[in-house]
Amino acid sequence: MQRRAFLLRLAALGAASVTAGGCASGAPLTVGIHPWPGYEPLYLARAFGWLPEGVSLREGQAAGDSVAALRAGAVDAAALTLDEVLVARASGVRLTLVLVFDSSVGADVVMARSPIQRPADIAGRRVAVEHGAVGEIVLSKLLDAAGLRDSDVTVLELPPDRQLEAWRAGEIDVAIGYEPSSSLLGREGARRIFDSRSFPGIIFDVLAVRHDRLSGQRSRIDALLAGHFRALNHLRVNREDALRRIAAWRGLSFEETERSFAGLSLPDVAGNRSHFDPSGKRGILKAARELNALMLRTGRLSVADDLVELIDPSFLPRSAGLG
Amino acid sequence: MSARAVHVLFALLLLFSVGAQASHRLTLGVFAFRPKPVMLERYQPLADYLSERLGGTRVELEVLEQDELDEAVAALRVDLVMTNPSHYLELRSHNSLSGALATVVSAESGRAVSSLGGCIIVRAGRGDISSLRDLKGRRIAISGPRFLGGYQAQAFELMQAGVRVPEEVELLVSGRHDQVVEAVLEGRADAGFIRTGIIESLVAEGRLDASQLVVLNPQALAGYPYAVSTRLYPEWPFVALPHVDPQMVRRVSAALLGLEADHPAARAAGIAGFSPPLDYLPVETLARSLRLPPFDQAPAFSWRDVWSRYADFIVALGVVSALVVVLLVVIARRNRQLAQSVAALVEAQRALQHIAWHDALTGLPNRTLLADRLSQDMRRVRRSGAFLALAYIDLDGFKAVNDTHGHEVGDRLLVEIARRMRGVLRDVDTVARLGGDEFAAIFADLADAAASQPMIERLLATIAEPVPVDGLRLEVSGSIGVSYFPQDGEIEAEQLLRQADHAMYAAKLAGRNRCCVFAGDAAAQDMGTAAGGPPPASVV
Repeated sequence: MQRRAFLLRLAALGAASVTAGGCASGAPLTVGIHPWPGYEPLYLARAFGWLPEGVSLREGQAAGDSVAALRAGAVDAAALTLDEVLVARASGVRLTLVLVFDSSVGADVVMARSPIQRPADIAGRRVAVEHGAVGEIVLSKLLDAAGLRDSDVTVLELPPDRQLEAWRAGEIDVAIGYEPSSSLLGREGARRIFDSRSFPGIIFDVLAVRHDRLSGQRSRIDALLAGHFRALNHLRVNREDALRRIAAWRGLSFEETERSFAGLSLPDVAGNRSHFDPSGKRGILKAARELNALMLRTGRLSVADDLVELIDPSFLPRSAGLG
Repeated sequence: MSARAVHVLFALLLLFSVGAQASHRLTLGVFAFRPKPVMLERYQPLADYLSERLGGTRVELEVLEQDELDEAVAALRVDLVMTNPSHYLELRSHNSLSGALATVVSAESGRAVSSLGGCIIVRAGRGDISSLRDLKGRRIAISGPRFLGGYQAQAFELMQAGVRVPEEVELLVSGRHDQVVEAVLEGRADAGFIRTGIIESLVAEGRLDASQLVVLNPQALAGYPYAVSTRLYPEWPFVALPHVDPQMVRRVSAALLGLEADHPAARAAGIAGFSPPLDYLPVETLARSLRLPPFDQAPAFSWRDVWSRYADFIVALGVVSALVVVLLVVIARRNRQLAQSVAALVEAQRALQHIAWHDALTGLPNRTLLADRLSQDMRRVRRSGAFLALAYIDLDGFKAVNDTHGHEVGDRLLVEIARRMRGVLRDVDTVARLGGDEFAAIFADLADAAASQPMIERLLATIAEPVPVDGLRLEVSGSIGVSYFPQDGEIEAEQLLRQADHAMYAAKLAGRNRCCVFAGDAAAQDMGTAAGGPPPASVV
């Protein structure tokens, strides 16, 4: 055991010296990112100067920006949802997951107009959902829970930021979205009838790295993850400080920001390890298999992902350090 | 009444009196972060509120300086404590205090916060200080190094910006936040560290015009009602000492959490009440990284720590060292092998040289070495003015031995005669085998030509002695021709040898077993026989 550890260390050393040499003059690591509570630790890390040298965040408005940048090779990695990663892989961008930012345990919400009280009540109603996004997964699960088929509802493609307007105009009865839009709908009298707590372990936000950049950027990815966990720790133990900073750059109130984290589980290093356990019941591979089936059914995927080289837990810190 | 019953009764009485005393009075020690009169005015209503809520127990307020509070806690003269978070950690490490019962929620213009931070102030209009780095080398007023919001939070932020505190600044300890503000306004300090909320309080009390001060390194924190220069830390904890009855602790907690923001006691203290206790880990982390009490003692250092921290470096060093040692060993081994093979080469070369320069049968120098020695000796003789004699020796009757007894016997005869000739000559002389039954001898360093005569005679004599080989008694003799050096005119070694050869033929013609001296182009002088013939009449 000792000897094996020593050998591993030796091998790592050799690799480190090679990559360190390549690093000094190597290209920087660019990470595509867009506003989402689960990704805030990376913004926090940047604000506190905890990101390693040679790592930069490229901010977009939505996941689509990051996917396009990944495809163009303008970024090496991006913060995305697991289903977005599968779609990108299907289109030929080989991505490997190295980190779980969060999993949705109630953050993805179905709000409905009175008198709708249960999923089954949505039959014949107009349902707003964002096209080609995680909302479609929620819709599938909602229909499953209601025992309905796609044809039993009228689906309107509408992203959360445009649902409030449509709601006020009386154009929709059910809205699938997340914070802050679901709270805004709540103020208009909408009722929460379903959320991702009913199907935990499917909706993940992850850091996906282009497979061809993995080995060359090993030391920077290591340091990026260390910075993320340091910021996550700050968010955890110094919550008020972190939330007020996040609120300031998102233009939200402290309370709104606090609420935006309510349905998210942000796993630390140990939590990440359990998600990366290939056979674990909280495993991300299990989620990917389920998404495969679900997205084949809805037509978002035409071929199931082979899941080859989908996850690589080797960048996770060996132990959780304190910020 | 037995003695035991008296004891039990006495113990019961004692227990009752202690319990009664504890239930009558609790002392609340509050750290004086503002002047004592201000503190008493602010917190007396809180003590009264607690007394009211606790029923029969009276809560007495004591406002104490940090040192006084330390002593009071150590002597258990207080039961409840409110102090700043870093002081709480310090107290806790010395007195095994429990966790906080609650955390203060402070209130400012209707907004409730349960975090505090540090404020770095400079006088308005000072253009030379605009960032944290500008504070390097400046005089900074602080209330005291044990204040979290009044020193430690700022020190940590400066450390992050690359300014070491207190090493790279000049600290002016002013005692209290109010005095820090005064020191900055009066120009006695370039900057000041105060906790969040002080500026706002002073402005509310009408004692400060906010435009007189600038807050350095302002933080963008949504909804935080105070100007702040640092990250936030949990507000003051409310702590019960371990000796307080658990039942009482629960009632105090309930009273604290039940305090509404609009209650007169809360309003007087300038707080919005109390929240469930926050995590004080950020304060601990801060104290650790600044090496502040209680983390100012360097921890015991073990090899395990060294290993866990520098394992990669140690492994690298070990690997490099091992590599160097291995290389040294390899080099040393290669070196030795090389030396051995060089020696072998030298030996082989020497052997080759010996083979090239010696006669394989007799071991005597061969014609090549003879020519070399002759040239050397001639040079030496020419310099020293001495004489040199060259004798050309041919065995008489050797062919008959060979024909009669075979080559092997002939060879053994040659070996024996060679050995004998070597034996009768001096060390400086050379005897060589030229081939077949022909030999040559050089007599060097002779005083004159005649000095060679005894040696030539000894040669003839030793050759002529019978040689026993395999029970045979073989007899041969020698014909010797001699030439001398120097001669009139220049002469080469080869020529000298030819002359001796000529003289040897003359000796053969003259009847063998004798010596002739070369005496001119065609003639040779008979020097006489081994049997003691007439001595040579003349030399060249």
